Amino acid sequence: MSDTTTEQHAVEKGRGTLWLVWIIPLVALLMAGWLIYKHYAEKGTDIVVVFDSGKGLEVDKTPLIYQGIKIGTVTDISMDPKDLYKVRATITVDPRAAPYVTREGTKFIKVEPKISITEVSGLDTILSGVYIDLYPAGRSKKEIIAKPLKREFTGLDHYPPKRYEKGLYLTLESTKASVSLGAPVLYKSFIVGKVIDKHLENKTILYSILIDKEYENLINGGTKFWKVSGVEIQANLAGVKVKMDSLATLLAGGIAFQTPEGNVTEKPKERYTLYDSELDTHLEDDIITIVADNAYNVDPNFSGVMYKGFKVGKIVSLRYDTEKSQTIFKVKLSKKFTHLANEKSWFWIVRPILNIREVKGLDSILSGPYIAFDTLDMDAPRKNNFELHENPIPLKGKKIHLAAIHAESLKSGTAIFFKDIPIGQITKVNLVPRKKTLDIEATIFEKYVNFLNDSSMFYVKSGVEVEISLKEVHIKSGSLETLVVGGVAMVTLDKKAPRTKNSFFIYKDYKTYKEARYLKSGGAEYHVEMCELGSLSKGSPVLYKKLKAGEVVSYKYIPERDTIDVLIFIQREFKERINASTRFKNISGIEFEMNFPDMKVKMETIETIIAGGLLFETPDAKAANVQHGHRFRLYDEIRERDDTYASFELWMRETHGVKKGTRLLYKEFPVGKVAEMKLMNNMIKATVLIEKPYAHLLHSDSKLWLKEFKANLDGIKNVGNAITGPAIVITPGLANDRTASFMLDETPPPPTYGKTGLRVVLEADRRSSLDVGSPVYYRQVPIGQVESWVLSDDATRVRITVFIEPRYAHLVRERAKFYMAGAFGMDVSLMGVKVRTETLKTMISGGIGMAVPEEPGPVVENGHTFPLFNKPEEAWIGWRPKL
Amino acid sequence: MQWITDIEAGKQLCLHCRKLHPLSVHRCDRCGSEVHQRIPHSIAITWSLAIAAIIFLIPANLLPMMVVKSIAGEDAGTIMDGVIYFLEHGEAGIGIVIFAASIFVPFFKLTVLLYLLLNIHLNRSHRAKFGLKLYRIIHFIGKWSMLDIFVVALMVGLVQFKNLATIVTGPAAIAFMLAVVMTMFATEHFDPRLLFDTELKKRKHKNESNEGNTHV
Amino acid sequence: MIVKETACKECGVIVNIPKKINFSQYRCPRCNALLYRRGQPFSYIITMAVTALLLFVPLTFLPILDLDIMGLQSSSTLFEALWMVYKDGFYFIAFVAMMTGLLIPVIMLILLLFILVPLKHGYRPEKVSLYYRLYEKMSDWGMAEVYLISIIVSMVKLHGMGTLHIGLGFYMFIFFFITFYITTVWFNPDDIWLDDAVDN
Repeated sequence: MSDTTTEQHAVEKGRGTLWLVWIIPLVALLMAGWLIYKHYAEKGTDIVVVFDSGKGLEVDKTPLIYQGIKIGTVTDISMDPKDLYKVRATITVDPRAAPYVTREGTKFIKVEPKISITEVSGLDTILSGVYIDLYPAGRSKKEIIAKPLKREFTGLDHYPPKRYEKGLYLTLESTKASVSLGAPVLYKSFIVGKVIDKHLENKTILYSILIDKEYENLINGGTKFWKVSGVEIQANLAGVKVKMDSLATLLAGGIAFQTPEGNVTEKPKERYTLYDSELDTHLEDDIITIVADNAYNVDPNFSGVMYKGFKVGKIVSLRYDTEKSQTIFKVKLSKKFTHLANEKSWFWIVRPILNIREVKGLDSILSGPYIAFDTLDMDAPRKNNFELHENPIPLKGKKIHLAAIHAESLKSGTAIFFKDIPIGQITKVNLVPRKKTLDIEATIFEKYVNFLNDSSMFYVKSGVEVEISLKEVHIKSGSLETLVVGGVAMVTLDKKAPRTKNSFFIYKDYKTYKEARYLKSGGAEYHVEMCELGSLSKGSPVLYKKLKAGEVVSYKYIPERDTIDVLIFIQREFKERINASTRFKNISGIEFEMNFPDMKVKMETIETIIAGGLLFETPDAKAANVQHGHRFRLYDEIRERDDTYASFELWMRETHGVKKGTRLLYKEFPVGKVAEMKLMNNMIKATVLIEKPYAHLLHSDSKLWLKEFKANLDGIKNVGNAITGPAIVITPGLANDRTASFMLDETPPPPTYGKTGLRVVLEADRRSSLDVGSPVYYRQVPIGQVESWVLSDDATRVRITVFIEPRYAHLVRERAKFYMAGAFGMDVSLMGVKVRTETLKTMISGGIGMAVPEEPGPVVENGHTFPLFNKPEEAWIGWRPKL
Repeated sequence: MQWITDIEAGKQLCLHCRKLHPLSVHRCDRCGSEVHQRIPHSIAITWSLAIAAIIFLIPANLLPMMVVKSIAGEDAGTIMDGVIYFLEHGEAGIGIVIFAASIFVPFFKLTVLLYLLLNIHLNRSHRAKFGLKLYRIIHFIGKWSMLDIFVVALMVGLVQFKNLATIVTGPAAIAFMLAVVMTMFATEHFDPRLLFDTELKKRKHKNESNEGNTHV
Repeated sequence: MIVKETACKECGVIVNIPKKINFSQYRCPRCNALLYRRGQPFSYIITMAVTALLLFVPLTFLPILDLDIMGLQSSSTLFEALWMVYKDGFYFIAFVAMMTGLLIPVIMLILLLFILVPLKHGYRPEKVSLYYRLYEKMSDWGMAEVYLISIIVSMVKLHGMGTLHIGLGFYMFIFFFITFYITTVWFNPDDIWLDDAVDN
């Protein structure tokens, strides 16, 4: 019976427990369900962002980053069916962030590494890859929640204007959009902010700029902003000075500002005017009108109004009045200088005039024509209307009268030089009735009046006929203008002569003047024949031991011999030095040595710059005397053609700026030049002269390539060539035979080209990230680099030629294994991460690794072919052969 | 051969000290533990635990077991992904060990438990010995399912290279662990003697029907 | 031969086994379940248990593995590994793994000492029955061997990642496990009650 009691007892007790037991699977169900729910909920909300390009986006990799925190991942990329040029990226957003992200107005920006002249940004993405940055619709939760929900967005490729960076946001108004986004804001050439946005609003360009927080106090209500544009070239012929605020502004432009001292308390304004230049910031509002006959090609955008070499004003408008046939310049002057525009002011145009008779306004070659003015009396009453003159303001001085038979180039404004220093100016040319001569009124400036006396002679200088004697001329300023400009020359033969005369005669040219002087001198004349005149001209000096011994009197072409006959005059004291052994050399020309950023001009003697010159030497003093009028042949001309240079042909498809005179460089050292260019059969054939000692560089496999200035957003290359023009560089090859005909390469050969060393060929399936210059490592020591690659003949493989430094050549053995030390190989998987990279360098650029087994085999010959493996086998790493 | 069991003998065994007691005893006088003839509610508890384990196995196999976060991205893998990875990467041995411990063992255990429970419900007395053999197997291999949990724990502990690579536990780990614990409890609560009791029941039933027949 | 009546734990059949035990094993005639096997003397077991416990001490702070990836080092002890899991927020996993892999074997050893030392000093088995019950409950949950194998599996998994060094902790763990295993095998719970059985 005990049996039954136990059983009954068990049943009674069991009901409750039994029922409770089923809670376990129920709880399990809840927990499992919760786990699954949580997992998928944590995966987040999917949103779609449409980008212009999917470049760099990777499924399951590319993160969505907000303020440095990852809040989502790109989970799918597909083409946008609405616009097949675009790409839809599905981004799974962290559920905690999702309510803020899925709002109208949220901006998505794809961040890639950008390295350009104006911007180095997103560098953190080089290693981490591209990411998507987020820019929420508002600042506070309340603000964001108020926006409607949105799931589909359009992504941006660069940052939108307002970033939540700390700093001062300002708006600048301008009429021109010449400043790029991202351009720097400079304060005393120091970058304190940047341009973050520009847009057009009612014909005004509005720039948004951000001043970094720490520089906020540089701005107040009185701050003036102006554009700085790239380069400021201060040029005159003695040198070119290139000044730029920063390299970045060169391409992108920039904005500079200045805050006047004083009213510091004034708070920064929201909007400022962006002036076009610093000058504009302090221009007077009054407009001055200048009337001219001609616009003189003045560009109101660049030209200014100069006062004693300072830019003090700006041309605000330029208009042609058809009724009055006048050009009207409207000019604004800087506040400090307005009083100079008064009744005694004189406005004139400065423009380059280059012709045989006159060289003027050379400084305006580079700057463009401009308006200059000066006043004779600073305190004269103000005036607003002026006339534009062609000549500078006449200065005070002694008035003289010059009589001339022909006007030649003489006209009002022509300068009078004394020892090449302008000492006066022709003010008026009058035709005197019933007289054969012209009456020319001229002014000798006050401070030079002393040089004028009764022995003074005047003659017309036409262009390059300049008489300079080394003993007399000391030119301190390098300015060429005074040397080149023609005009009226004054020579004072006797300093002690009395000063009584007021009228002089102007000889019609140098020769006639000379003749007058040579009459007594007793020199001799000779002929020198040459093929090319060079820069020789009448008046060019003839030097002996660098002393002036005579000068070129005239030259003429002799058709029957195809030469130029130069008549020279040798002074009496040097006449004895000329005999049959005398050699004449042409030392004409200017030798420019171009460097960046300076330009240096080197010359034999100052005189030769302008006029060229002849040099003679007499090796045998006892040689037979020669007669007055003897003909010589130019000595160095013969030699140069025959001995100094070897020539070869260089073929090119385009000129690329190569022209006659383009230099030939070897190791950056000039060894020759282009002598001639010809178009032949759609190709250009250049005849290049190379100095004989370097002629051995012309191996049949030597490379001739073009070194030219290149600027694009990737960078600037060969800056020096921007000024000097392109150069041809020779990289000698290794072949034994020589040739005299080359093809010009547009790109430089690999850096290892022509070096002696081991060259082996690696055969790979693909080129991967290998490039010329990619390193080859053995035990992480660089032993060589990739020199070139080609597709194999049947195009199934890539043949990569690798250059191994000679001292490592013995390491390359027959059984060596080559593998891609690829750009950061990383196998990541659930079960582990495998990282293999040779060095940090290969991580970014890629490279080749070499492993040599314990039994390495013999050293290989040039041209040996190895397979290139995609990754090393584990065993290779352990190899430690003694080599 | 006819075996006399404790039920027929009217005895009950203390499972701790193996002292045989009469049915009237509720607490073992030797070791002080509670004495039952059979584990109370063994079938019901085993059922519920087995079902709970099955439920847990679903997320355990669907969700990622561990997540590898590295500069190359994030990679979450389920148990099966891990097995496949090792099979594909020439580490078949490890692959098989993980497969056996993490997939085969739990499923096998649950299958066996369900089979045993069904045998009891269907009174398949002739399967009793075979069932006991299976029970011994699952009892022995039960704890090996924990292997993967330990592996994940160790990997998480070891691979902590900040930005380069870190491994974190995935949500499947907890589900998997719960599943394993559930099966272990289920195995513990299963009383293998019930397999043999089916024979007794059958016999009783037969006797009863015989008696019934005689009555009729 | 004096026999004692008992029942098979696994099939419930009533069997008689000899009261005075020789060194044989006794199995169930129906299901072949182990009914009795002779254990080692308590003093041996105590020695082995103490050895195992001593080996466990260095385990707590010696690293099991060092991993070196591109110059970055990481090493962890058995506890640290589980601590990382705990820090990740998987408290339950960390707790269960800690218990089963490390603490239960140690607790079992301590309980064993609590059981055997009093018995050795002549205490009645009833005094230690609570400890024994706990020991019995835990015996299924001690998973030191699973943990040990998992270390080996992890090593294989981590093998490709970087340079892997096996730390002293790992060897300690092997020795610990071996001694622990020997201890549990040597100990036969039936021996506790053996003297008592005579009274029955």
